[in-house]
Amino acid sequence: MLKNYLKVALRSVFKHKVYSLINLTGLAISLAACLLIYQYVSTELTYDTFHSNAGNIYRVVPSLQDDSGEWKNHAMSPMPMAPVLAEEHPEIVGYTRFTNSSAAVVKVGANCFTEKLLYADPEMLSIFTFPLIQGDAGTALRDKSSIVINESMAIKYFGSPDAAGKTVSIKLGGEFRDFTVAGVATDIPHNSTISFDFLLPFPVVLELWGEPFVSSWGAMVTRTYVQLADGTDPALLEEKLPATIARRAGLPEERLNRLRLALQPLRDVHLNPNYFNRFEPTTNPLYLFVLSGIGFMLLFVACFNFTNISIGLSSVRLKEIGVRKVLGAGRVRLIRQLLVESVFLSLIALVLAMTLAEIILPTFNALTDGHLSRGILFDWKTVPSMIVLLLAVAILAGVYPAIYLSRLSPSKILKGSLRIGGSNMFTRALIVVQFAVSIFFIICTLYMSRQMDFVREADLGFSADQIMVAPISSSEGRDVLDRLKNELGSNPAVVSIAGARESMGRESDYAVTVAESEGMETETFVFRIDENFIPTLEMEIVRGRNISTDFPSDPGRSVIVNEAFAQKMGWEEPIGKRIELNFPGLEDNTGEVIGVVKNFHYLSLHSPIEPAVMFTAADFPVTRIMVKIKPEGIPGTVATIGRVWSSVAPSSPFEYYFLDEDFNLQYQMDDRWGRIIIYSAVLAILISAIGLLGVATLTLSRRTKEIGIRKVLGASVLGIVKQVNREFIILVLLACLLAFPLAYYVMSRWMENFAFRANVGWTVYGVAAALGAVIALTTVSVQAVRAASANPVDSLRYE
Amino acid sequence: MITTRNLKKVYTTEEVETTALNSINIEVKEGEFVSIMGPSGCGKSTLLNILGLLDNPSEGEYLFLDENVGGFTERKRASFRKGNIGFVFQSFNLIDELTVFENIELPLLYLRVPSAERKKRVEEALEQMEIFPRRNHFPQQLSGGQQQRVAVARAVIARPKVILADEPTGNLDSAHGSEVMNLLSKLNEEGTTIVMVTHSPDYAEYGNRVIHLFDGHVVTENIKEQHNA
Repeated sequence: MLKNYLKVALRSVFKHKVYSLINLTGLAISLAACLLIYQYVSTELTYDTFHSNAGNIYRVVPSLQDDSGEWKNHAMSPMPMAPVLAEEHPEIVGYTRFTNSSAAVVKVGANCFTEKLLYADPEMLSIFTFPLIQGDAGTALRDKSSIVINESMAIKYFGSPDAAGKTVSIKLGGEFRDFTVAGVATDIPHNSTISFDFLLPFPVVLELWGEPFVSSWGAMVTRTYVQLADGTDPALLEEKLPATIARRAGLPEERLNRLRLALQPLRDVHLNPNYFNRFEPTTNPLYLFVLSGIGFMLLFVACFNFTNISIGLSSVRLKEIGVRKVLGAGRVRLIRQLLVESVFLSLIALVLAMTLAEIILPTFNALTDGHLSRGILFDWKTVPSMIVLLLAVAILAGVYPAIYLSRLSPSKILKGSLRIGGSNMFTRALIVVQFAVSIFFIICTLYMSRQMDFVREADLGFSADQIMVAPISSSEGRDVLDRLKNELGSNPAVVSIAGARESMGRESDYAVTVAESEGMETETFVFRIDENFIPTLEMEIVRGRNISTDFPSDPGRSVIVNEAFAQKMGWEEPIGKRIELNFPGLEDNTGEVIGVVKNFHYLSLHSPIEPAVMFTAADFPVTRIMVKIKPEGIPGTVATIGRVWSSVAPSSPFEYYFLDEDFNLQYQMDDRWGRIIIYSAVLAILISAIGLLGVATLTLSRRTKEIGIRKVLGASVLGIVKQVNREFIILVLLACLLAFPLAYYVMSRWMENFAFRANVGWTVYGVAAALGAVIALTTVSVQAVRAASANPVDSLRYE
Repeated sequence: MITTRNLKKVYTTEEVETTALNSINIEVKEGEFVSIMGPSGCGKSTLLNILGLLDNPSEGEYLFLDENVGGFTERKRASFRKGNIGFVFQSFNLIDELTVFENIELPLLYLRVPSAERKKRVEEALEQMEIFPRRNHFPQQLSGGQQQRVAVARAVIARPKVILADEPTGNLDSAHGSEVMNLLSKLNEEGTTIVMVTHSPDYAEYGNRVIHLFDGHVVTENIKEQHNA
């Protein structure tokens, strides 16, 4: 019997080629999108689950409360915290701190590149599961002169993974130091928040940074992970931690109430972006919901097509249903047959979809910044989920037609007195929902592009144009800066040169500390800059003056604050105020305010502008050299600077970026989501239009006789097209009613991500509605013109 | 075999109530060939639908082999139909997506007859109806007469107790029409009970008996001599 069902299904597919094509294409496209989204989301959810201790690993994250009562979550914690916690709490069976270096030069023989380093405590390789191909995880980081590298790096520098015992030279603190490769790790999987090319022992960074960082409890400069003993209740342990810190760090009582230490499960790290200064790649889970939602929406839209066309086609298949009933097929059997058909068609669509998904995988990866690998869909592990998907689609798409058709009375069917398809309420409702989805996506696309334009064109409070930024190691930064100023100062193509420790738009660069003045207290960002920084970035000083070499007392004593700082402190006259700032570089930890700078966006427009303090010190570490150049002949100027650079800093490769481009990298995620939404909109529109085309065709074929009679009575082609379109326009309007509130809600939520928002008016909704209507009318008109142009004699002859 | 007592069928639409059949009392004995005649709209097809358990009467009793089947639910009617009643329609009603062989085989599939036996029985029927060479064709590829022979083959394949034929010659020319009538006669001679609706007095003559319907009533019953051509 199954064979019989399948035979009929297959032959019916070939008999109604156009409808089958509409059905299968729509379903295959949306299934392909769903499969990719499913894979992407499930990969996101597997982050850090591959560690065998994953359930017992926690990141220790401090939260601090400022004067206004607001809590701020930090991803970073002080250097001395981890050893102290491990010493006092036996539940902690292991800990590691992580610190990333900015660029460092690595040399093996003639191979010399700039690389990023990760420093970690010796237990790191036992806590986390990063298997070593060579070396022993237990001892690899014990020795201060040992290093662990990953397989790719071993191949890059030594030509093979066999690198144990070999020597790597790394430039640290201005001179090359030799490290012996004590372990070669397999390459880090993509779904790991912690990754390294070069893993160095933590004592090296302690030595490099020195005091006051190493023993400071105020500077949040490292990331702390602990492994708890089996069966430890993290909530209980969390409660005990602040007291330990207070005692060992000597915090006063009132500070204790403003400090919390949370144990954040490792698996939560990737999916929780609500921490300041985070290093780990994170995904906002909201986006995963949105993406899954898009997948479901596309799938529903395609299933609706399937249902609509099945009902429409049923007028053709009625005779078969009737005959089967006469021959003794009961209702259950017919439902079973129709569902088998639906499963069969879905299976074809699924196979098409899998092929399609493989083909568009590279595009999808580029779009989502994902790392899905080829063949991932054809893995046997996906079989159960594929079966679930298949059945879900088949039932979703096939159950209504099955129930509907099997209910009809055979004597009526065979008498030919039944007319169904195309016009019933259910079909109309489905079209409305489909168009609502399309209009929803159009609105989202418009909203997002408005906001992103706003963000890009916003006045940042500084000018990022034609500013070349060259990162440099802190050990030689100041020296290179001075020599560059000498060498390039008279170059007409160079406007100015500045040096700083903190640049714009790099959240992980910033240090946050507490500033006090006259009993008021605030958290503040700190910028260590030279006297050229403010003019080079064309920032506006609204009160007082810039730091200057004319005032020998400026370094280490004078500070500039932003407007937000002055406001938070409630100062009417900021100039001359003294602030206390627990930060290296300021003499006696105090500074005098000599100027107020207009608020500027050192972070993206996602973040509000918070208090910031800027000062210079004789010996602050310069890690960014900024050169403002003239807009004419940029490539030539860059080449000149490169030549000068190699003469003043021969051991540091010349690497640079442009500040405006770099600043906009902060919107990478937003841009990516913008693109995803545009693609979804196009897909939804495409699938809806395909479905509408099918329904319009069926509706019109059912109305052939009516159109014929109207023509005989004198109706024009245009008149008939208009009349047909009028009905569909009403559906588009209903779709708008559904889509508008939903889009408004979702987009308002999305806009909450930004501290600064574009004013998006109602035009967006108008444009979306108009676009939806145009698409619907074009689709319907194509069919309507054809039907209306037909000779009425042909359509009436049957009667 | 078939007995109806005061059978009545009323169709109700929103405003109009139409009586299609009124006080129908007929009896069909096993092995009989009964023709039903009457003008368009007299209720012939309605009666045949009720006799074929495609529809329920509004009132009255319908006994099939002494069982009152008039009040059966759709599910019960469906299971009663298979194996007991075979149908032949004016418009053949073959399934376009199935071949000749598969169309004839269908009732056996619903009766869960094993595959080997199905094949044997379908092939016999194909031979009997002289359409064996056409077994792999689709209905659209056959002439009207051939299609109706396939339909007849499908009606008898499950060896039903009765065959109900609704104007089986209506769409056929006279040569093909006679061919189908001879086929039905032959089946009747072999013992199958047949009830046939027809417009044609000539074809009605093939039956042992003609029932005339008019406006939903039985007006006359002519009992014929055994028709011997």
